[in-house]
Amino acid sequence: MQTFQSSPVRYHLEVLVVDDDDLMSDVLTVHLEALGCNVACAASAEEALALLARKPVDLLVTDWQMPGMDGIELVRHVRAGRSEDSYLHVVMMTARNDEVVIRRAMEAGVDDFFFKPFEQVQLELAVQSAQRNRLLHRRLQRRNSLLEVAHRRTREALDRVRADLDAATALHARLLPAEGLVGALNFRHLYRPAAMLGGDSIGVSPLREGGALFFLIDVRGHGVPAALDSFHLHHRIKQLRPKSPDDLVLSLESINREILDRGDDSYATIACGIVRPEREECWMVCAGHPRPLIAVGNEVLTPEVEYGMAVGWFDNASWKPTRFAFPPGARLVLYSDGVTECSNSAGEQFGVERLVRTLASNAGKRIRDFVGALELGLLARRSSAGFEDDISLLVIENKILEIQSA
Amino acid sequence: MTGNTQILRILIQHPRLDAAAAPAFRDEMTGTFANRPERVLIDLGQVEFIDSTGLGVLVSLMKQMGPGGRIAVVGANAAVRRLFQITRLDTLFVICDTEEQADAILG
Repeated sequence: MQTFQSSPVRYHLEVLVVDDDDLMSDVLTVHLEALGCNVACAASAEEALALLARKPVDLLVTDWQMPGMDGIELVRHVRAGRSEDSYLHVVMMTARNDEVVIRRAMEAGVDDFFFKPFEQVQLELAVQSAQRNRLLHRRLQRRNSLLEVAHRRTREALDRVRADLDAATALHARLLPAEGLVGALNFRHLYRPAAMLGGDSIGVSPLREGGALFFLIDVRGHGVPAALDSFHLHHRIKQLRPKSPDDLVLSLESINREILDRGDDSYATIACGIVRPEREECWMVCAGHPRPLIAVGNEVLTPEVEYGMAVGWFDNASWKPTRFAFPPGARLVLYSDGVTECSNSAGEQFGVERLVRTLASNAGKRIRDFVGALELGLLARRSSAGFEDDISLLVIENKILEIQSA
Repeated sequence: MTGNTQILRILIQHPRLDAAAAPAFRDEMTGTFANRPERVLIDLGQVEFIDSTGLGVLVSLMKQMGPGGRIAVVGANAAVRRLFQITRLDTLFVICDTEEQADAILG
């Protein structure tokens, strides 16, 4: 062994030397301490395992052949008992440059070898290599823990946003009209937003004068901004509470001005109306919205409701209510374009024709059966990413005869 | 140039003028409409589908036009024509079958 000069050490490695030969342990300890290491010694593999369980060790230098458990078995035990994240550099001392033994040692988890008689430079190399790896390992650990903190914070922020969205979704759902019989009218709706929150909204408000105000709003775009807008418009219409066909127009004019005054690009299409089951009539305005369908028995018609501009586009826009017959047993269907434009993977749209057919084929059944059948048809087209557009539909049935006979 | 009137010709190359494509289309048009053109011809021949966001961009372009501005549309497919009809934009955009017809109307 040569005389030896200590090289600068940045980190004091914790070293455990395992050898049943005291002299060898002492020599190694002297040299390792001179290299700036803190050294502990064990005379057997069993003693080494006990020590390793008590104190942190960066570098393990072990003899191969020892009474009792040998070096390879020791390394196997050590590696098996430590997590993959914990750092330990293992060097094995051997007099035999035997490929089979070296391979077995490598498989057990040995990183490097000292071949006896070993030279000073081997020791320096092992210490330097262990130091560098230890440093990298610590850096990596620190970075990982920073990433973990960042990830946890992002997760927490995401959870808060999710909780807010859930609350908003629940609020939005509460706006949906009650289903079933209200006065002489039977209601049912279908509402499936494209994202958690939709830009569509459906509303029904029974009128003191009899009958009901109903509307379906489709705000431009999707997601949270559209949902906030549709939420607002829903409340605004209920607040304006149009009671007559002329009121419907006045309400749309107010909303049109309000949206224009905001000066942004938002707009909405609205189908709204007043239904009077006892007079067997319905008045409607379609502001940029598709016309409704009406089913009388298995005959489905499209009332010629006059088309008008979407609300929020032009200050000189005007609307005109259209009256059509709504006889006992008739079903009125309002829908957003998300229903008819719902496409399958081949790009084929659901279409008005299919909606008409579904309505006609469910003529003798309850309106919930029609809505259920329609929903199944639309769900079959939904991709894994969900619906492309918000889906909303409102069915109103005139039950005046049943009410009167009861 | 057609006659004495300069017509701004716009070919929309987005097959789907929807929420995904509309912002890019709006950006492309911002500079083009900065001079408040009075005669615009929009070619929708390559457009298969327009959603509410895309339609909103067309309306905002119309609003950026000069006083007395006219805007014509060619190449609209059946679905797009129906959309213009439902929203009554067919009263503000002149829907034409051919470019010659549009030129004659705008000229």
